[in-house]
Amino acid sequence: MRRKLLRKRLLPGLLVLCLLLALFSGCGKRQEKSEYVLYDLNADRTDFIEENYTPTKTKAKDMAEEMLNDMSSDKSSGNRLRPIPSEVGIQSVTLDQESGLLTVSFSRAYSNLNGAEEAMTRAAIVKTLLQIRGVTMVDFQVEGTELVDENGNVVGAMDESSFVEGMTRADSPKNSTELTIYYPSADGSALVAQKKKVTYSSNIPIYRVALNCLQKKPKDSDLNPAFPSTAKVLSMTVADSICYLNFDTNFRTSSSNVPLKTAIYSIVDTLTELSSIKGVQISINGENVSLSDDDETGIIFRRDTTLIQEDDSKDTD
Amino acid sequence: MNKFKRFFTGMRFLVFLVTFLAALIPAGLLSYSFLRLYESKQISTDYSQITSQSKLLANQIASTGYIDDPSQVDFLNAEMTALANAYSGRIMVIDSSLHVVKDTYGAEEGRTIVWTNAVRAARGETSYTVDRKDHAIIVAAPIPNLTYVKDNSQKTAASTDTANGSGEESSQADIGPYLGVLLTVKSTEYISQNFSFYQDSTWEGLLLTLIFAGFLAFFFSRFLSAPLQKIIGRIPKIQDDSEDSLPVKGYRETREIAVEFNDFKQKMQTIDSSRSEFVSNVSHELKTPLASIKVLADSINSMGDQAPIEMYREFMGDITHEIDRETSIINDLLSLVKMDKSGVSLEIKSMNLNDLMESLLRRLRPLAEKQGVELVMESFRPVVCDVDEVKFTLAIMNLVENGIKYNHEGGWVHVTLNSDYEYCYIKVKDSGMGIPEDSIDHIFERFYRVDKSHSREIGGTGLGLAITWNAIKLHHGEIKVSSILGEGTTFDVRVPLKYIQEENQEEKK
Repeated sequence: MRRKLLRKRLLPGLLVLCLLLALFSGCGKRQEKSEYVLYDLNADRTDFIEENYTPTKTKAKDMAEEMLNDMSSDKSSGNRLRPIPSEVGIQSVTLDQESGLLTVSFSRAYSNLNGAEEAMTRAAIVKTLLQIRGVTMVDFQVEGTELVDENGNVVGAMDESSFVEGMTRADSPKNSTELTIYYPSADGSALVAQKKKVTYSSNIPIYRVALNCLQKKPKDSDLNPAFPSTAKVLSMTVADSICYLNFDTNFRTSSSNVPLKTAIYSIVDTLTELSSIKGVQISINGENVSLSDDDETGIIFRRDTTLIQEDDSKDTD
Repeated sequence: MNKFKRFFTGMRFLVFLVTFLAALIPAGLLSYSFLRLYESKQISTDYSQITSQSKLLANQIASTGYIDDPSQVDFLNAEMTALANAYSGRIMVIDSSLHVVKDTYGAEEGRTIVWTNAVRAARGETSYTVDRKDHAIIVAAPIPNLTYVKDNSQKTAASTDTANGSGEESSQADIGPYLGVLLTVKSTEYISQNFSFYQDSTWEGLLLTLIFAGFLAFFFSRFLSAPLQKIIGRIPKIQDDSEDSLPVKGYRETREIAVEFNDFKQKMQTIDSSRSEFVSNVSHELKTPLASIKVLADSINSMGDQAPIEMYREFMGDITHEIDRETSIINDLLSLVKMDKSGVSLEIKSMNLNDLMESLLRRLRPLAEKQGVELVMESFRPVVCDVDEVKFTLAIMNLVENGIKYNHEGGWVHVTLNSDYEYCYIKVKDSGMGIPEDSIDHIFERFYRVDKSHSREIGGTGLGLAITWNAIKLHHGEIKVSSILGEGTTFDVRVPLKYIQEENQEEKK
């Protein structure tokens, strides 16, 4: 009987204990990533390592000075190298409150850094400083003169987008722009212009982004996509301002309720909106697409505004 | 519930499952590894191709001083654009400060690349990564400094003199062995398209394999289990006597099972019929003396007071004789039953076999004389052996008795005694009627009689040799028989000199 009672008390007790532990460990984890980090370099200076950091100062300029001090390599521990070499001194730090430009002047010894190493060091310092609220750009100087890299280029003011940390879509900086996309109308007889704001990784060319928009049916409207979602773009290249598009056979299916002409000019007019493209050639599995038998093979479609109708539902300009 | 259990524990299901999986699993593994292999092979092929292309381009960039002024080297720009298009990708030229000098997409020019692979390439390390999400392979290759000399480096291309902030050093600080990095991005869309094509085909293939394997497994399992099912169905019928025996067909194992089973059934039947025969024999034998006794008693009774005393004496003698006969029959039965019981204990004593055999033969001499059979014993040496006196005597006595009984007038029985360091050997040889070849394997069987028609005349119960066999076996010994019909029979008995309690010897019949 005693055993049973023990079990009755013990088991729930253990459960509660476990729950509490889980909660607290969760709490702990949240505290683990602090609000600020220092960007250290790894041992061979090819990558960044984030280190938790809690500054004591609160005003932007003071915090910047504190960070710069703490980034001296004397303060490195373990495999994490603080970026600023110990022989480099910080001569001055100025912050323009209005523009958010932080100017840092280093001693002459900074010029001893060269090449990739200098770029990594600079990136680590700038990334760290850009965390400060009130700092939107950072400018480096050496002995009061603008920093010039070993190839003779003036570095200039840097912000987050100045550094590209990777080549994948996730790592590349994002660009954002507004495109004009011409969708086939509901009955397929005309094209309707739509302005679209797009954000895309700099890994993808803008013309590809425009084409991708045409594949999806625009929300909240009865407009059609230019080609089915099952269609695959086998290749899309631009040479001498002509865009060569190669689709697979799903480009035109029996269920397409958009006539071929409308579909083609939906693509052509959208792409010729871009300054880099003046004509489009379309093929399916390598076979050139033409509108009539009179067309010569390999016809290049040019911009044709006759199909475009006035769009009264959405606002333009 | 029971039906499910029956199904899943059956051989058929197991064979089905194994065959099915044996076909499917290798097929699946092969296709999977093939797909993976294709993918990695494609990528490595791409990598080597891009790398050699990069090296060419990098050398051109280095020798034309492209990095200093890209606009002056138009043909390179065109070449890079063409190459990027061919790759459905992108080419970026980066200088030694990780500053993007040229980007065929135009997007990153002016930015600083701080990507790990690019930094490594700036130090001379060529590498590649695969961007699985966006289907691209990215190769980072260093652009060599063609005029780099280990201790002092100078650029050969036109140098732009821009004042450097530091002032003291020349505007061209030593660049080092590498001018920068060439990043090439090639689309692997075609690989993933091919991959999904192959994958689809593989699935189709696997589906076909699945169907084929299913059929194969189904029929194979049926083929294997069918003969067994037949046997299972047949046996009850054999028990019912509606069928006679198992058909011997199918593959080797089932045939062997059928043969063994039929043999076993035969044996059982023989034993059974022998048993019934024994029972009728025994009751016959038991009744006979009683019948004689009855006749004798009735005769005496019917004569009443007129019976002379000699007649009484004679008849009482006969009655006693019959009672003795009955007793010996019953004794034989009892000894056999006792020996059959497991756990029978032997009273082993070390005995001089010469003396034992001689006294045994002495007891049999009257019978031998009556039958007109010569009884001779021969001994090569004194033999001392561990035996149970009663049982051993019984065993040998039966053998000698048989030799006398199944003999003719003027015949002989020779008993030989010998030994070596391990066993003692007793041979009982007679010149009697012998045992026919088809009976010789059965003579030790209980209740077995070679010639049933003469059993009454010869006497006995058909148990003698069974008793002998049992007794010898209990002594861990062996007994063999050989015979020629019409000429005689020889029994060879071998008994170990030392009796060992554990049963560690092979029992051979």
